[in-house]
Amino acid sequence: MKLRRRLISILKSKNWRFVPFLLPSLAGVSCFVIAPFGDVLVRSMKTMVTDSFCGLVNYQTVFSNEAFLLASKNTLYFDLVCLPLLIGLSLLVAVMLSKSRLVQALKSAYLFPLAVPTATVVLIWKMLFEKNGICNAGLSRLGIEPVDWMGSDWAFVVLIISYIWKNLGYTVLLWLSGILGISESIIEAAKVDGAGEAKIFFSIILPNLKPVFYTITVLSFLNSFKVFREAYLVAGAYPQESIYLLQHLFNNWFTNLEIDKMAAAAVVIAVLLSCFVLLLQKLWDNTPDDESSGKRKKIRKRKRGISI
Amino acid sequence: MKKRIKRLGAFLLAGICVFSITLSMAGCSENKTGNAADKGSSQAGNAGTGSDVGDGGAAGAKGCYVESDLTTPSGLKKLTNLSRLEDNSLAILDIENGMLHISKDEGKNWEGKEIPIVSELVKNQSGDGLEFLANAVAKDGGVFYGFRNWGDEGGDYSPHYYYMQNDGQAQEISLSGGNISQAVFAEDGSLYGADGEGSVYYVDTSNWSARKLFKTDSVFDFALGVCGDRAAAFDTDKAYFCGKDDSQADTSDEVLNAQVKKEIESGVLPVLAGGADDKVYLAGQSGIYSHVPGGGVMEQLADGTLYTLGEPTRVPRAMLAEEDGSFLIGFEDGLICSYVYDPDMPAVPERQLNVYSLRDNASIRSAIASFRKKNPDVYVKLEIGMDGTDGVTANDAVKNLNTRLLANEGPDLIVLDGMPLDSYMDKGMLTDISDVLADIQEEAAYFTNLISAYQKEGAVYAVPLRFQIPVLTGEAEELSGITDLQSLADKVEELQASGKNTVRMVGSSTAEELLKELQFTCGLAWVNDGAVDTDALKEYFTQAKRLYEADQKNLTEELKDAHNRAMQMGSGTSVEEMWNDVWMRSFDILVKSSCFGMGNLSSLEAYPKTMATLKEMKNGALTGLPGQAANVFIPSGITGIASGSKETELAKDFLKELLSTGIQSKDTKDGLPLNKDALESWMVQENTGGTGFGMVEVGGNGNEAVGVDYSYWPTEKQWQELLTLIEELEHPCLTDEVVLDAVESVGENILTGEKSIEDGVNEIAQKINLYFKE
Amino acid sequence: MKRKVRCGVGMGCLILLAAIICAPIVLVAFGSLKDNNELLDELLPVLAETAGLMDWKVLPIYPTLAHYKELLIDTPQFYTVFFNSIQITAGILAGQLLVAVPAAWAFARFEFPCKKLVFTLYVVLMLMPFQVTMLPNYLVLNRMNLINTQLSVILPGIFSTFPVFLMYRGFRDIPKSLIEAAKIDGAGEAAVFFKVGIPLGSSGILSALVLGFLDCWNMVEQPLAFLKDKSLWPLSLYLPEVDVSHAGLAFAASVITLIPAVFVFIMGQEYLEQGIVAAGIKE
Repeated sequence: MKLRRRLISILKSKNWRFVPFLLPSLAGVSCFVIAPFGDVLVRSMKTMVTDSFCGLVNYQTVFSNEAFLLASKNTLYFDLVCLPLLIGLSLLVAVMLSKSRLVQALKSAYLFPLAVPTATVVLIWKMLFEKNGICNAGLSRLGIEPVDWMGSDWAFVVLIISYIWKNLGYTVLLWLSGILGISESIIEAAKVDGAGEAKIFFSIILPNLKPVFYTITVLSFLNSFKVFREAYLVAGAYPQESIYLLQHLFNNWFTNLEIDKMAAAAVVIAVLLSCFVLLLQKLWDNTPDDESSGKRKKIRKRKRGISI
Repeated sequence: MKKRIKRLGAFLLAGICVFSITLSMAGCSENKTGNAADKGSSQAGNAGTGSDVGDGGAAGAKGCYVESDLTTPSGLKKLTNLSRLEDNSLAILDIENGMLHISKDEGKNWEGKEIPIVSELVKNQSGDGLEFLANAVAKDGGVFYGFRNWGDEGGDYSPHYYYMQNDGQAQEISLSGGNISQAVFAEDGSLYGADGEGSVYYVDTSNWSARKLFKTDSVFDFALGVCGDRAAAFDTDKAYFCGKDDSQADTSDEVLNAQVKKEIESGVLPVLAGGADDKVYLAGQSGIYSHVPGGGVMEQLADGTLYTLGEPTRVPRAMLAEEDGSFLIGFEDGLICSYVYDPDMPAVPERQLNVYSLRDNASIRSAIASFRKKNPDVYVKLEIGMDGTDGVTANDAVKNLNTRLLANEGPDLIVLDGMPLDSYMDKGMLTDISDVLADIQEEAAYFTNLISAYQKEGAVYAVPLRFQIPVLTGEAEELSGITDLQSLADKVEELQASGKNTVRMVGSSTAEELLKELQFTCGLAWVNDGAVDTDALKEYFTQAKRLYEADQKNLTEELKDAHNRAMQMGSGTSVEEMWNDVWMRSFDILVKSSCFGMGNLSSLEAYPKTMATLKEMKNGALTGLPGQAANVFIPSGITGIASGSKETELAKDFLKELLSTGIQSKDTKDGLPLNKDALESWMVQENTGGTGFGMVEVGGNGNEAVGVDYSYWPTEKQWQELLTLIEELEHPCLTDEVVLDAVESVGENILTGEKSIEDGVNEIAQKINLYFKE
Repeated sequence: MKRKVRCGVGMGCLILLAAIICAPIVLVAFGSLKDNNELLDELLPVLAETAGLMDWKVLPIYPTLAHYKELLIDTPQFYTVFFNSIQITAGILAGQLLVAVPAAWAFARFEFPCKKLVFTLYVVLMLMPFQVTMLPNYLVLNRMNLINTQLSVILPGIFSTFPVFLMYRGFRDIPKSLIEAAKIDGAGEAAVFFKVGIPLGSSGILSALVLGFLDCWNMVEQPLAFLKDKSLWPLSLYLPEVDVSHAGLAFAASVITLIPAVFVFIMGQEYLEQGIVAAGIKE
């Protein structure tokens, strides 16, 4: 009853103008993205062999599965290390770049790795990090013992390096677009008022970067999953423990036809991710009105405060 | 400035797009037929356009070639030529028996005509020492032939050439200008010859003088052929054409050369024939093609996989392209097939049987043609997961297959080598084939210990088509006392300490090779009840390391480097294929390159060849390879029927065909047959393998030429020993790729000393445990 | 003075970083110019089991264009494959423009029930690894009889939620005042979208296009799973298995694959800059 009234009020209020904009996308996405995931949801509650409904058994299995726990731990650890590292480093670089004149050339240089196809990355990786590879050759010339890069805990470091190498470019680009988007006049005004570099950075630039920060976080998170293909091509399906990620697990489960477990784990991950994303949204993403007007209000306040 | 650069950039990008589009249009049509020629994707044999078909092809497309067999002339064991005479009769020269066979009714009946001198020698049983040079049939039925009689009592080992007229009278010819060892007549009567060292000559029949036309780069003694009026020859990557008036050979046809190269890479030499309008026809394992010289297209007329042509054991030796568009192809084993185009036959038979294999499988290929002959309305489509030409990993291929299986779009029959067999069995992906096995055992005898290798709880889900046996060869006295891995290592060290100075001891050059062989007999000991047995692994590596060090002791860096390079440059042959044939490994013993031969009896010809090699030793002997597990065999071609198959009955029939005596007695070089009758029929045949002379391996001690007579056939007693060995086999070796990979990859580091045994085993256990935990 | 030194040091660091980042690519580029023998010598330690350490010389001793020739001239399949990549990429990007841009606009500018839910759904599903939905995706495509056609890769690509997410930010930043102004001038929804939204959100759209291009160009898992015929494969799948006999070819193919991608984002950057500047002016 309530629903009906609500629907009627929506129709009447002419708030359906969004429909033509959203409809094509929603239709396609439902078909190619949401429906498949729905299928995964259903599969997670069935046993694979007999195709019969079995409730939450698969979830139990997954939660007590050691491999799953290890992979989750590793993935979490990897993200906790590489995300801040990437975001921080790229911010630093972006700030430095925003002041220099060589912006264009350097920006392109940083972006290069993104264009490199996976197979090439694997090749480079092999050349650099094999036991007889270039890195070890260099090390031995310096008199240091060669390191078993891929066979020891160093593999984790290699993975991080590879991740940062690939993603630094566009992260810097995004930060830059945020920084350069802040109107010059505000910064000038602050400088005139005598604010130092640091103050400008923390009080003006950072807050304005909040929305970009949200985008970058999600994007970097997405790309942290993409590291899998290279790791897999170099270290195989059962790599050194520290780089055994969730995707390795999914990959192996699929190869061994453990579809039900995979589905259950996927749903679990989806739920966790939703929480993460909602959290991010809450912290960093407010409605446009509040934000832009809020921004201006804050700055005006600041300005007044400084001029005094 | 920047704007200009930007605009330039935009134009350049657009230009590249247009350029590539146009090029790909040109490349597309080539690629389509090129694709049809791809080994891996087998498509319907479509006459005409070679259209790119997906699954099953255009519904209702009609027209394909029908293959039928002609009678083989009696007594013919080896066919090397087939010609059509002026009077339209067919002629085959069987020089080894001194007979010219002529058929006036298109191959149903053959009349034999004796070849003077040779037939007498053959009848007198002194034909053994004859080395034949030149056997060519002229258009009028005349025969040009020659031989050297190494068995001549008078010591006359010079070549003699003769020409036999149509009436049966022969005259001796003295040939000048070259030592011809092959000859063939062209359409216009010109006689061409080859000299066994790669040069091709024109022989003037008026004065019997040979004039050299050209020399090929060939490293093997190719089969000389003709194409129309010109001589045709191959080397590994191109074809040569040369007419008698040409000053040099024409090798410019790139498209043809590419096809030749492809055929040779697949292991079987193609044959050429000339047709009307200067067209060139090529027949090889992948099919029959027609080509306009200089043109850009190799048009596939018939897909080899659907016919006998595609069988890896059949070698085409002669082809005739008839005016009506049909073909006659003679195969080396005497089979002659005609291919006639029937426009009403559906291009793709209605029923389709899909067979999937991760890697190419000769056993399957050899059965397709015979199965088709019995079931003409069935199209057997063989799909190869990894054909080695791209970056698809085994894992990717398996995942794709799984997707299709789960979507019920999967193949009907699966060859499970290299795939997670246990998972497939556990998850109900395979049907129970106990009924098939029960049926075939009523028809023939099988090795029962092997056939139920994959029995699980009363049902059988997979059966190996062939099997290999890991063995150890060497001098009997040195082999005595070797019962397991440790005693092998002990013996090896003892022999080395007491002065045995062969280059290697068990014949491996790298850790990888050693481990790849030892894994067969040791793998089963590493995993117990879903957990890793680290002690067994440690024991394994302790002994393996001793063997490795013994092998490496006398191997110089140079030798190893040369070996590595050779392995790397080999295109696509895996280590197993090249190095684990025990008859090759045993040869190393003869040239003192190794003390023992460690390898597999991996084909029907392996045992005779190994026995022939052992005969040259003082007291050569063969025993099962010792290891941590006993009585292990290596399954090859483990086949199962998918439970989601819509053609289960047909798949079962095909499986029966694969295991039938007829197919199993063919030597597909991928293992010994499971069919005992087939093995026994092989045992009683006479060998026609010829002699092989060994070349000294680089770095082998001494430069003596060592020879092995590969025509040696094992005695009854030796065959019995083989049978006993087979009947003692119990377990299939460990085939779990994950475990094997883990052990091998880390194992290499352990053997070379980079990791300690303790660390290495822990690392391996870690990986395998992860696998089990999943 | 201090400031200048700091600037110099900062610049130095940045340039060094750029050099390190580009080094591997330079390695590959020069590698593609080495002939097979040299590559065999140098790569042997890595690919085979020998005691030696790798001794990679930066510049080739005997530079050769043989690999490029082999790739571009001797293998006609290359052009087919290249064209496939272009086809797929162009198809997906065009579709995304038509579908994702309006959707992002809808999310950014309108309020409607369940908006947050749907958008979260979009984002979360974007993060799912391909393996998880590979099977059901296959089933859907199979039912539509699209397996083994280009569309099986293009359609899911068009409806990927990734560009929506990227463009959302761009549209979000447009100040409401401008929209209000346009509406006061009598513009309808469509006009607002085309005249105000797109120009001002162009930086977002462009970054989505550039990143989308890179994604599509290097896409590996989808074509591998959904395209059976090799003649339909894109360039990214064509890079051969790397062993010594093909190393030179692999290097050359890598360089060739790189070039269009580099082109795109160099040009994309120009427009991006403009977009940002324009956005700045609006303030």
